[in-house]
Amino acid sequence: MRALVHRRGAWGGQPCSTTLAATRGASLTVGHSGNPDYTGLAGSPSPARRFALVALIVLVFVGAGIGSACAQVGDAAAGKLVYERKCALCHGEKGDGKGPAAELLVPKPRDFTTGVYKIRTTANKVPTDRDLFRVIADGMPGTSMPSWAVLPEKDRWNLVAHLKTLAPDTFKEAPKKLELPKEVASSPESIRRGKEMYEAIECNKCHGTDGRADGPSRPELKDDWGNPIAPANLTMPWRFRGGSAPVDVATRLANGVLGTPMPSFIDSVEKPEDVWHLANYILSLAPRTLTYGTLVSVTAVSDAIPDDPDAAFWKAIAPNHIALLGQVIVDPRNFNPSIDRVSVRAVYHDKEIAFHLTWDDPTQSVEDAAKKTYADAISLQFPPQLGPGPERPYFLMGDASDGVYLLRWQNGKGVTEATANGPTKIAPLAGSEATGKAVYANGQYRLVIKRPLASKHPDRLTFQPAVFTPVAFQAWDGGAGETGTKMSLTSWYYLRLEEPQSNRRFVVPPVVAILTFAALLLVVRVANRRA
Amino acid sequence: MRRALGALMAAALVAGVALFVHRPGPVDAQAGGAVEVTVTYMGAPVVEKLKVNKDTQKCGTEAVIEKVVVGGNKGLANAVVSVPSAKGAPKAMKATVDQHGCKFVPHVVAMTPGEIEVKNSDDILHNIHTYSTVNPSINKAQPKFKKVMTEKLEKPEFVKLTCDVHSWMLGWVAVRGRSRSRRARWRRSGSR
Repeated sequence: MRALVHRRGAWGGQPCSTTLAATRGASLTVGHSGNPDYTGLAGSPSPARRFALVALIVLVFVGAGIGSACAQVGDAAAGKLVYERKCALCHGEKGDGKGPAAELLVPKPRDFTTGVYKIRTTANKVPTDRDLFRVIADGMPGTSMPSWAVLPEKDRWNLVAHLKTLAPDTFKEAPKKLELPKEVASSPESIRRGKEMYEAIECNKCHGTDGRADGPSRPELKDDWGNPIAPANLTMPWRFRGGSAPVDVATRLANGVLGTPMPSFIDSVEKPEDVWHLANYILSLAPRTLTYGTLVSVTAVSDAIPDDPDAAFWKAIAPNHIALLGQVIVDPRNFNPSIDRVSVRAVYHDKEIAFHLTWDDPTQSVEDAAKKTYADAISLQFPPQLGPGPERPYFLMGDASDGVYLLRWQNGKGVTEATANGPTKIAPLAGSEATGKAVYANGQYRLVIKRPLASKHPDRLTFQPAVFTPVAFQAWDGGAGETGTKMSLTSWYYLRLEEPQSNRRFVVPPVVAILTFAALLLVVRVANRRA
Repeated sequence: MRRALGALMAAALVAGVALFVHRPGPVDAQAGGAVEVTVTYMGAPVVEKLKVNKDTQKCGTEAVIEKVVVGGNKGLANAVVSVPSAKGAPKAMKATVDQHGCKFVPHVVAMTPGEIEVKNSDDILHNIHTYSTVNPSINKAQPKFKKVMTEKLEKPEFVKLTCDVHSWMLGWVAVRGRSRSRRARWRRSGSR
């Protein structure tokens, strides 16, 4: 019986409010199994006991089955205790969003006393208990709010009950269910209609033409408390605050995101089902597959390498997606990095190596003291020479004893080469051999950097085919105030110049096959002659 | 400035005899008469200007944010005058506000609790985002094809209107009814 109870726990099934009392009663019965009355249970149970046992099993199963699907009533007092331990650091003891960590966070932690919740499945201001539960359980992607699935489910429901006591006026009203039109599955037609609607209702004003959060209204946007707020980059659904299932996106479109500039669109599309077409279109903007790599393959080519980042040549080469994180080791640190991914395509031939980099940046910016912006920049970092062992310089631009070699691009300055002995000790290399060209369009940079394959200079790396060459990346969104040590970066990854594939692989196997066949025929003929 | 405005408006009220006046109008015999009020403002006008980076065909290249508009003879534009001590039911006033030329026209509108018509004459995307405390806040998109929307403001208060697409757009709706304290009435002046 204890095993049964454990299994119920393992399923994560908590009874919903209708079966709560009954199941609790059943659990109590189990708790009393040490009672002398129950010692004979396994032997010859009385009919009443047998009934109790059956009822218990049924209740446990029913409770477990229903539990995951329906909300339960939490205990606000118990929730307060959990809140004080787990939530108050950011959201503040009183729930006013003014915890000691709040000032470091973007976006700011929610002030629960206002009763304004971004993520709702309701048509009015009041979220359902499950809406609140879901944010606690799943967190809010793209923000500092983590998933609290580590807390027992009971604690999460208790937290929901506590949150509701912080804004009693809001929760006086009952949640009103948002009625979405019937779901439209994604299809090329639906996506086409969604694109049409995206243009008709001018989502681009904030979210940008290609959905990369670079719309003209971006710099003006403020939340209801006057804090600057960025529109969502629609090509990154993994950062959508309320989830990225079609129903989540359609719900955000239909009822808006409270407390932010994102308005409700359910009455503002041509036909109600357009919210589904829009959701399908928005989700089609994300890359279909996105596998992050740690090895950049450099493809051997025989043709000339084009300088133009938009040349068709580059589209034929598979990108290597590299994830970047904020630099949080050296002050000033970057807790909220703007750039979190760079896609790298790399090719070489016997004379040159070229890198094609693609990354999202919502603002094209140069150094401007008045606007507090800096030049957008990106750099590739290598050791100055390839050593025989696994030793590499310190990943954060080297240190005093071991420097690094940088291939950098800065908006307005172009491509340069440099050496560095730490993030604040960067020295340009004279007589740069590197060239490059960047284009910026619709919230995205595309850049080509070219350099001769070999160099006689001791601080410039000579690239060698078929050797694992350490490489790291750093990027700065100057429009977001990133400069110096405020950057996004990676640790050391590797790149490898793939050896040119010889045409012999298409010639040798068929020749061997033909020769073998000929030998076979010969053997057969000789054997026949002898016979 | 808010206090000064309040004092000015209170002075203007002394002359008030009608139930509810938005702007000087003809005498309405049935409602018991109307009142003409001139609100003067001794301070300087407050008008901010902003360079426009989008929709310049509709919005122009420079946005003018009218915070305090003062006429030649110190007349304060966009003032809302109400008479708290008046007896009887106020005459129902339905309000219309138009998002026109990337401005809320009129800048300040008065209404009795009920419906407000929000128009979009601009043929571009606007949204209507209200800041209120007793009325549920509204944030609805108004794309170019959505020429008219009808919204409800059912409780008396001063409601701020903004459009997030064009951050300079600012408007006010004075929802005035009965049984409100005088302090609440003058919490915000008609044109801040």
